[in-house]
Amino acid sequence: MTETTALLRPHAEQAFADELDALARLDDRPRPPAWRLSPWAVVTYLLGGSLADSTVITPKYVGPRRLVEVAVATLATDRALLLLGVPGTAKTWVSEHLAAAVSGRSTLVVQGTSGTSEDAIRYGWNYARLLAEGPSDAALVPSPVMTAMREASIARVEELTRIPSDVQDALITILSEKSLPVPELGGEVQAAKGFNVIATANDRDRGVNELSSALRRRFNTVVLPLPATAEEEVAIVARRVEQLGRSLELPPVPAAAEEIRRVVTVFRELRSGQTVDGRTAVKSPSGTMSTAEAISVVTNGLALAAHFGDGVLRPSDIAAGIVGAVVKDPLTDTVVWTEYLEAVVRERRDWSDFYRACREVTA
Amino acid sequence: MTQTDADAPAPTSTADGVHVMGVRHHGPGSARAVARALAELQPDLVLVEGPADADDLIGFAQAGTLTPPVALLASLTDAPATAAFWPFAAFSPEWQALTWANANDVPARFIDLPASVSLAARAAPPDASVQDDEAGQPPVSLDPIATLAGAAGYDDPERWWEDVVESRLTDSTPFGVLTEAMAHLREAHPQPHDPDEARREAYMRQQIRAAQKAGHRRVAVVCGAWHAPALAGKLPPASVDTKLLAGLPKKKTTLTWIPWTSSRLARASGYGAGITSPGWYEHLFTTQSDVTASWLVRVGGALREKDLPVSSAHVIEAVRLAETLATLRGRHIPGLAEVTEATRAVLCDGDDDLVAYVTAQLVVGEHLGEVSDHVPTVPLDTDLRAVARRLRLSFDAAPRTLELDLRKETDLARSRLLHRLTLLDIDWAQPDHQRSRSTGTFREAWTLRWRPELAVAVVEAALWGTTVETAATARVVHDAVEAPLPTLTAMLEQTLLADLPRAADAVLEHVDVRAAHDGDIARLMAALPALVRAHRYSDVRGTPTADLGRVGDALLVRVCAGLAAAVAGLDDESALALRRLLDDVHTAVQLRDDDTGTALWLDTILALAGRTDISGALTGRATRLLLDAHRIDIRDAGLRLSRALSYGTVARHQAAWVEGFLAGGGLLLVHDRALLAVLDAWVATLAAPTFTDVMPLLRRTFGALPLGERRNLGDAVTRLPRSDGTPAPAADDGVDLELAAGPLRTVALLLGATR
Repeated sequence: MTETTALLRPHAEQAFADELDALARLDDRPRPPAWRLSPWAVVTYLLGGSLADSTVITPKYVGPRRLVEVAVATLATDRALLLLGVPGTAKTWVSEHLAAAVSGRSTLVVQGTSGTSEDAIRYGWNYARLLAEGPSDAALVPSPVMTAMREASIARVEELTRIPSDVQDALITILSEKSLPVPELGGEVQAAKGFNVIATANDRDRGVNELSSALRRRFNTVVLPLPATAEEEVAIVARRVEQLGRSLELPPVPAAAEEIRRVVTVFRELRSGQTVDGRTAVKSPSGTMSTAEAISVVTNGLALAAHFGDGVLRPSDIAAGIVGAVVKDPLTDTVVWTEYLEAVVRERRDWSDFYRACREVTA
Repeated sequence: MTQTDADAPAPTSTADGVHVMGVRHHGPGSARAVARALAELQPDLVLVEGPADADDLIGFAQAGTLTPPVALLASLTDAPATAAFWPFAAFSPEWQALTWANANDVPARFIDLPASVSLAARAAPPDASVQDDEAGQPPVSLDPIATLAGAAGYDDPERWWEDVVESRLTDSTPFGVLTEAMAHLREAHPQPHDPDEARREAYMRQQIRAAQKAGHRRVAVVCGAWHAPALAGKLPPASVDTKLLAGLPKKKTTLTWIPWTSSRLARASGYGAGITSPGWYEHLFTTQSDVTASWLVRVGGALREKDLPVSSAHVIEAVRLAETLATLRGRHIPGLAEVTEATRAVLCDGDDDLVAYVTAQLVVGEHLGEVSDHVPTVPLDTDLRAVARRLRLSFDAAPRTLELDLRKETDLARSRLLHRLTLLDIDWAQPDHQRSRSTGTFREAWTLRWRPELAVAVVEAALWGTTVETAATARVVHDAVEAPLPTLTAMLEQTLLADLPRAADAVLEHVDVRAAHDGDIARLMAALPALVRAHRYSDVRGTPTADLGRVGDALLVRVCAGLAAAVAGLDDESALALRRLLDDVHTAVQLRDDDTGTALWLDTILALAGRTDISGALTGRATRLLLDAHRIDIRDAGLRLSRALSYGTVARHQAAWVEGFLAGGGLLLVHDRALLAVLDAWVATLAAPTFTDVMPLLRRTFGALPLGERRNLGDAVTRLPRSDGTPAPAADDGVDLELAAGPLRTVALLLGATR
């Protein structure tokens, strides 16, 4: 436990070990085979609540309860779970916490890229041993998925749609037969009860490899939405910024609710293409303007305020971050941003500091 | 006002023979329980919550006469816009009670306040419309069972009923316990004192007392659960209720059965809140076992009809997910929320559009009820049927074409009827414009096709009046208040076609006022043609024209005054739109055929044609219109063309000018060689890059000409004098005079040139 404080980013099961322990201790509901918690406790772990012994469980995911319930129920039915959403909708975050709560570990991960090979999903070989001893169990290098099958755990596949289609299909047998044949050894690895897969995929990315319908059929799909209301989004940003600030050991800066609200407002307006009051239409930039980016803008601003500023989050601390988040394409996005600045920001009387700060950075 | 004290009555109070069944309106669980309870109890009188003056209509509630969903419609006879609906689905407990009574020859009666009283109260505040406001949290009293279910953690009250009421109770009927629960709920949620509600319950109690006095031994009362505690047990002294009900205003009311649709059940109505998932409820009502599985099989079927690959394996997984979700949420059986989540995650791949499709198809459903012909119906329907019979038009489901000769009296009357129905949004007849055009102004063609849903449209239209004529008039007068100017004049035209002089006068008044305030010239221009047409053809149809001409002329004056300013600074697209409006107005002015107006218009476009600061499309068009109207001669037009195409102007502007000038007919060029020469010279001198630039515009201009004209034009171009000075080939080249002599002689004979 002590050594996790030295880590830049502890895993979910490390960071929230206390909460998981408390839940496991007090959870008297039936648990599916090899689950560390009951489905009900997993939902509580994700959405937060307080327990009988007054342990407070912090919410990990702020969003519709039904989505989390469907996700947990899916894992309980041994169907694989596919989390879909635009970038920055906490897909990976939810997947990590689900794995940590269900299996007690979130580290069996396959990171999907266009270069992911079948070895990463099935198994590879230790070639020195293979040459020396011939095919044997000892020469086999299991993938995270194979390990999860053996050890009744959840395996995570990140960015499933970035993996080439033929490699994706290696998952089909694993998900339907719950077994992984190893023809070289004349055997197979059969999944223990409790094995399952959580995949995440981006549904608004260019150059994705569509899932084959055979594979898609083996997943239940849960679409994670962008935060529904400004209040919800402010809450998400504020909580994450605080957590990040702690783990990055930034000097404490008074929680600047007003600046956070401002950042969230800017992000929401640019994302939706209209101002909050619905009166003015604005152009949307090429980026997705996700909540995750809003979080990083504020964290960045806090670091600036703590190390270079007067310790209070000021408009000038977040201006540069915001411009960086909006202007991804120097040509079109600059136009979008300038228009927004002049047409919307300037008109808001109590935003004049922010407007000046942004003008300075933009020019 | 109600009995909720500690010495609460025995729940269903069997002592005095009155059995109160507090139900959830449109609750399939309640409906089943009512059917069961009635079969067991065998009452000798059934009392049902519903307008007491609809008693005469109860006899129709049986298979063969009414097919639910149907609704009772009550409307004030002299103001049908004040109306209320009491819808019934097959799974409504009230419907079950009525059909049971009819099937078993047991008298049934409605016991709620008569519609004549409730509507009279509603008519008092102005503009009380049919629908209650849908915003905001509905009061508990509207759906108290949903409140109970919500308290128990259920978002689907019917599943709660199933889960808690049906499967846990050992009693044969759940109503005793429910009445008790309601009594507590009424205590826990005191509603703001509502005199209407107090009166309704008083009236219901009076009816129960009357039934007892009449000597009925076993009386079944089916009412909303909320009212059950007020009706069950020992009733309070009658005098209080009598006082409450004394001197209520009454108005003459018409009641009838009308066909209803599933989607309309979703609306709020006389029975309080609507239900959002009639399809699901129907499924719950008709399916006894494997509710979740058979529902998801139906969902799978619906998705397959959309060509989506849904296998049985999918459905199995969906059922498993729904059941696991229900367990996770601590419910014993999956409800609509769970099956919808399972549908979304397993069958629809998370696609919300598909889920919306399933919701529309199955969860709401689109059943249409039926009401057989011998049921008395709304006055408008009676009037429509009578008029149709008189005009020998039958309500056929198969489409039928009707050609009318407006010079015949019957046909004119038919045309008026069909136009009036169109104004009322009763789409029985579709005008067949193609045919109408080709057969002259005194002919009209329609396609008639009667669909059962039109019965509902008739009922909706009945809110406007009791006869087709008055309803159409009221509707037009109402719509005219909000309509923008071009719509208004189109409406005016329609009202004249439909022969509604009173509506026409009202609309005309609006046109006049609106035109005075409207600064948008384009809108005024769009409004003018319909007005002039209306004026012109009103004579043909024998409609009095009153002030039509005056208003039309005033509109033209406004257009002419504003046009000069309206044409400046337009982009290509708006210029094109305005060019079309110029044509329309020009046609209208010619149709109006009024010297002052024509002169004013021509002066206006003459000024327009001389301007150089506006789009060529407009100046070119104006020049052409002037030429066609003989306001300028061909020589003048040629000069203008030449000026427009000279070096001083931009090529695109020039091409737009040519397009405007030539739109709708190029014969002019064939006949006038001077014009053609100017044009030809312009094209020939265009520099290569400029040519590429204006090419599309020119292509569009000439491509729009009819084939014959284009060929003639091509011929004419070949005969133009060459720019290098060589003479053009003689026009009479290749004409064999000897061969032509014969036909020429015949022509001369025909023309009477005797020589």
